[in-house]
Amino acid sequence: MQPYAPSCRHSIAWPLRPTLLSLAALIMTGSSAPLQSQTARQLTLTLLRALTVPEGYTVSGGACAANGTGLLWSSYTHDLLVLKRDGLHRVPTSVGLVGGGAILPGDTMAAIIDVQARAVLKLDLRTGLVDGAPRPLLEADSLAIDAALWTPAGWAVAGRSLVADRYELRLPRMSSGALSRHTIQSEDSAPGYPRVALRLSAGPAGGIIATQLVPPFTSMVYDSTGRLAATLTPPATTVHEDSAPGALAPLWVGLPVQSVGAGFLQVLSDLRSDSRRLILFDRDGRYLRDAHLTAPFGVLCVMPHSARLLASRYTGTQEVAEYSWQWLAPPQRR
Amino acid sequence: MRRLLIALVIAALPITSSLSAQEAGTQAQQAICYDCFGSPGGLDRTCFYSFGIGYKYCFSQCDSGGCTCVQGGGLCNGMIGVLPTAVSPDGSFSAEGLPFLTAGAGGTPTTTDCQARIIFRAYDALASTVLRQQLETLSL
Repeated sequence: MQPYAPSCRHSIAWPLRPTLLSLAALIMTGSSAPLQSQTARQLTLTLLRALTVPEGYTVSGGACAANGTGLLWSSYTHDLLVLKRDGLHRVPTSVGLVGGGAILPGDTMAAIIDVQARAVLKLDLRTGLVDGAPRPLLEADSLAIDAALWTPAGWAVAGRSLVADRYELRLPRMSSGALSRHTIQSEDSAPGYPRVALRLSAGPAGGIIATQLVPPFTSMVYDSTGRLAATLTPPATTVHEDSAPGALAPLWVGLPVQSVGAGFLQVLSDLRSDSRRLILFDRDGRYLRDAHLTAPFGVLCVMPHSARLLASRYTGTQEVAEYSWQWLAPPQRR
Repeated sequence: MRRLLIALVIAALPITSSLSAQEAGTQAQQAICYDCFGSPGGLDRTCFYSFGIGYKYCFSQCDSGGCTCVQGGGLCNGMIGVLPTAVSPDGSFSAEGLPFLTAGAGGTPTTTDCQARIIFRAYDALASTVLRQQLETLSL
């Protein structure tokens, strides 16, 4: 593996300097918060390190191991990236389109979902070679995989049924090893949006969070038995704004909700700009507050035991950034 | 006094005429298409400005061999809409995630349509520095 040293190179030369307006827009602002949030604790993310992704590599997804190792994959290249203490390591492989992955205990092997083959591969991260024969992903039987997430009980998958007009979420149950199948219904979709599209992320205590990419961006938090434990929905006002005359209206999508200790963090993204809404929920799924951010930013995965997360961000180069999180008491008012 | 004032105003204007229009156009085309296929293509400045400063949606045109910015209703001309694969982890729209563009809005995608290649943003050093500083600590 070749370590990839962090750098600040700019791969794209652009003759225009940003205007004062665009610089002024690079400001994170809080929105008006409901009364209940005035007493709720605040979440602070502090940057620990940021590493530049190798030029030409587009990160499509990532997974975190409890010990801080990160696994990143791309839909455009077979290579994987492994994030370790000493930097990013590029691992050449010959696997197909990766739909999910996990670092296995010991840090030298990874389990990878090959979306097209609907199979699980065991991969040696030191050599990039596949270990043994691919195992059919039975959890995704007759599904076009949209999202996959490794859990201690097995793989959770979401996707469109190949045999019926429905969208399914299949969750492994910690207790029995059986699958819990959920059919996700949706109202008529807004123009330009698919009817249903889910993103999966790790929930508290071995649970799973399924986030709707499409409005109203609702997330379902399932516990390790497959029981629905909480539902999170950002207020509609979070993404309501009047667009300037002649400008395209924002096109919001929901990035996966992440479990961050005492609550949940969601990022909504406008695909037509760098606008992001960071939304905070408490442990029961109640909306606390939100903040505006004008920068490409989203959370890849979390490491709850060390209160850290990996984020994908763009600052002129694509970066993987490691943050720690902290819940702080609200500022005292006089 | 009036002549002096005019001279001062002219002197204060940014110097934009040091390049000929042709040279400036060439530079802009190279900038626009730098990251698509490495080959300059057409430039639709309306498209560029419609998406805001620093944004360029660049697509290959099947018949040109280069890349051309296109503009149209909705997200961009003929785009299918939001596909999960088109959303990057940082929340950006990644045209690379779209398998194909349709020939026109609402059309059915086929394998003969143009393949979307890339969207890229560009910040200069100052903007990148400001962004990095902004992302040092996030509180809410």
